[in-house]
Amino acid sequence: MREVIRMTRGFLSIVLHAHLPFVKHSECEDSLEQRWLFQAITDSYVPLLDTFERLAGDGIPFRIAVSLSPPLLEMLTDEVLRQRYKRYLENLIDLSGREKERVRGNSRLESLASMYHTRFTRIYEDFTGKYREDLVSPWSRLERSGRVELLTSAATHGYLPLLLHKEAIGVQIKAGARAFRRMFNHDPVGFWLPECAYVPEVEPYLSSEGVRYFILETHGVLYATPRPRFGFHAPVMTPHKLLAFGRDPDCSKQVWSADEGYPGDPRYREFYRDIGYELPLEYLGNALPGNTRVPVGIKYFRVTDRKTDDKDLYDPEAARRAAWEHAGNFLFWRNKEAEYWQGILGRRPIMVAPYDAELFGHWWFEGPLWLEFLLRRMASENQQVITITPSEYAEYYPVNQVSKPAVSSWGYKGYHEVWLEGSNDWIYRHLHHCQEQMIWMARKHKRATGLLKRALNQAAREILLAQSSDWPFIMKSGTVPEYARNRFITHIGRFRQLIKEVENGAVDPVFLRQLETWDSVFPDIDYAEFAGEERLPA
Amino acid sequence: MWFFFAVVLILLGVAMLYRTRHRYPETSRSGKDTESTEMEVSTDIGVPLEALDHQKAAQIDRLSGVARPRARPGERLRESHPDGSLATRRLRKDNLSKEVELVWEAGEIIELQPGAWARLKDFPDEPRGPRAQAPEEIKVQKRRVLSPRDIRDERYTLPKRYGVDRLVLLARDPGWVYAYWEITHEKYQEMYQKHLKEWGLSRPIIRLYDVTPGIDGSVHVDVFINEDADNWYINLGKPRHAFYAELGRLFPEKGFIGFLRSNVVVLPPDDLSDEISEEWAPLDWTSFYGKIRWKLGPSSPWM
Repeated sequence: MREVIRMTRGFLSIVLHAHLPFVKHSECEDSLEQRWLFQAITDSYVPLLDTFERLAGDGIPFRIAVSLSPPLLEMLTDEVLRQRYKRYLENLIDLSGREKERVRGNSRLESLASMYHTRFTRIYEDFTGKYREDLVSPWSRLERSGRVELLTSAATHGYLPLLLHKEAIGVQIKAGARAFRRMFNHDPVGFWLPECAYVPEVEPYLSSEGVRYFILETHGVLYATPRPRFGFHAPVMTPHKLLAFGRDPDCSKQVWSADEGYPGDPRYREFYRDIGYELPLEYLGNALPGNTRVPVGIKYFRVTDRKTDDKDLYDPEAARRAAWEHAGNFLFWRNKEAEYWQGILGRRPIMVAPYDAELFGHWWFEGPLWLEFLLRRMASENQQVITITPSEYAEYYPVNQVSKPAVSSWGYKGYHEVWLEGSNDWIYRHLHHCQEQMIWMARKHKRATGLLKRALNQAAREILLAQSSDWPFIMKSGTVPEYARNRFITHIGRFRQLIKEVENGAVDPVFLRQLETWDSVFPDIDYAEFAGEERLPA
Repeated sequence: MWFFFAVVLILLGVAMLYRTRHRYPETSRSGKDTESTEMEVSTDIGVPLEALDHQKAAQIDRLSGVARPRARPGERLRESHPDGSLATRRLRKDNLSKEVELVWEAGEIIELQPGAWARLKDFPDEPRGPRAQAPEEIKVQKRRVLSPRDIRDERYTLPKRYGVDRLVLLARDPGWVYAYWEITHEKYQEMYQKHLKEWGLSRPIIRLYDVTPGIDGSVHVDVFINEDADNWYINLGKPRHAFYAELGRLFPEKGFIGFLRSNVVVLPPDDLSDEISEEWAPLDWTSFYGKIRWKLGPSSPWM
């Protein structure tokens, strides 16, 4: 490793963050929201796993950090959801088979239709065969092979700066770390702060969970106090001895700027032209949830021109060439950046490139291919930049400047406005009140047993589910605000119902059992942690 | 001719001055639409509406000069009374205490019901005694809530209020804080009784204290809020400063009286730190920083 590093001028650290809110709906075989998970598995999680396994199999020496959020892990290991995912894929394979018949005669469409049919069939075979319906262990294997470093995140992706009570922040972090240990049998070395949202209060909890680093938006490091010597090209060491890495603005802009980013290239597949919107309902049949039109994942057109709706047919070969070129372009700029900054800093700069994992494959169909080309080109050509994980960087440069990071997030405008504005600010008075009640109950019932303990644990789960940053985000983005509102009100309602039953000394075991099956996150939750009476590093 | 132009110019100037006085650049109500929600949102400053005898309350309010009538549950607050009795007038500047005068200078407008001073003087003893509650009314309005025996029976609504006196500040970004609050009926009543005489002339405000280390704690900012508000966005524009708030009322003679006190928040920084470590003196990246600054901030393409 050190030998290789001597030849290089800088490091690229790609961090993929995979997250979806907990959208298991026991009552409903096929719901719109559950499909978020199924689509992400088909479009992103399996293709990414496949890519990394192929690269590792070919002996490509890449390093990448992947954060798998606790609610996502809970859903990936849920038996009900696995069975439903298989049925979902079966419907999709059936539809893509019928598509081959439908477009017979049009040779270009025919080849696209059979591309989808082959693709879905292969994913089904991988899921049931190679992975044995388990999409968590393959990540563990990749980690053992030294290619991938896994990060955890807050229990339900709570937006930590707005939770108000340090006990609530603590439980989000502790439950997230515990879910990670349950899945991967070791301490999480890195922690993905949901939405890169940082407040200093997170630090004692992260440090007591054995975490060594987290990722911030660029100005989280740039505005640190005292001013950082190396800008965002090196991490700062926080007062709790955690490393805070700042996002590289160019890496983000080139990949996911709506205007100049690679995914907008005319040769790439167009996301919004989906046969789910265009073909007759009766034809699409079970590939849709009921009679609601949703994208099914079969898309025949390319971006063409972002200003027009008149789209050309997708050409996989041309898209492949675009991905190859863009990988080369990205690499070119990373080399330039490393060369320039090494001269100024006198130390190899690190370029941290965090992305939502769902960007790769789901939003940007060719994303996994781009990533594969990038990593292959970095290995084969004489490059000045190599990939590294944040913890490898810390081994190579163990001495870093002590500085306090700035409160920030990667949301629009860089702070908390996305999660605190006219559409969603009303949730906080309810959330904070219930948190306070939970803290109070945890202090009152220190060692509950039996039914009481189960009720309090379930109340803690409901509070965690209500804290998810996804609800205020969806209310703000306006995609499915009614759903987000209902989810929030339901979890707060369940919490209040449980607390009322506990207070009255009359816990209803039937209702409790139902809630335990429905909101089945974190089997090992410990409500007592809400009391927040543990000793923390100062 | 020039005289005519001068008059027109002066009139224009006065008109513009009048307009700017009516603007409240520092504060804004949240733009949320409370009508379309299933959730119940409180409409008053923390007095449970169902706990009021409306006729009596209205009478007391009128006597004590409360400018706006309280809305009954399910009724929208009207801006003015149909018979015009709530037509307002400007308070004269020389009626004001020093503290209110400062606010006056800052361009806030204080309005009240005509004749409130005189009435208070004439009937000083009238509105004594605890505010009448109407237990029958509460009984009728209280819905019987059944425990859900099955998850399919779940029907949840969020409460209007939790019966807790609370003022919470959340720092939103380097410039702004968000405040939300709840005042219990008891607390409101207690303050109302205590300051009955001047109540109608007082206005609810949030006072923010700058408690940044090294800064005198007496520095504060006052923000006038609506009588029926329960949350407010406040532009402080002081990155890296620490604040806490008090919710209370500004009285013409007694000055500010606080009801609730908040937590302390620290606004995030919006620029490079001035603190330089000698051992880790910043390298020459700061000149480059100006060029990349515009790139900071946004994230996902679908955000």
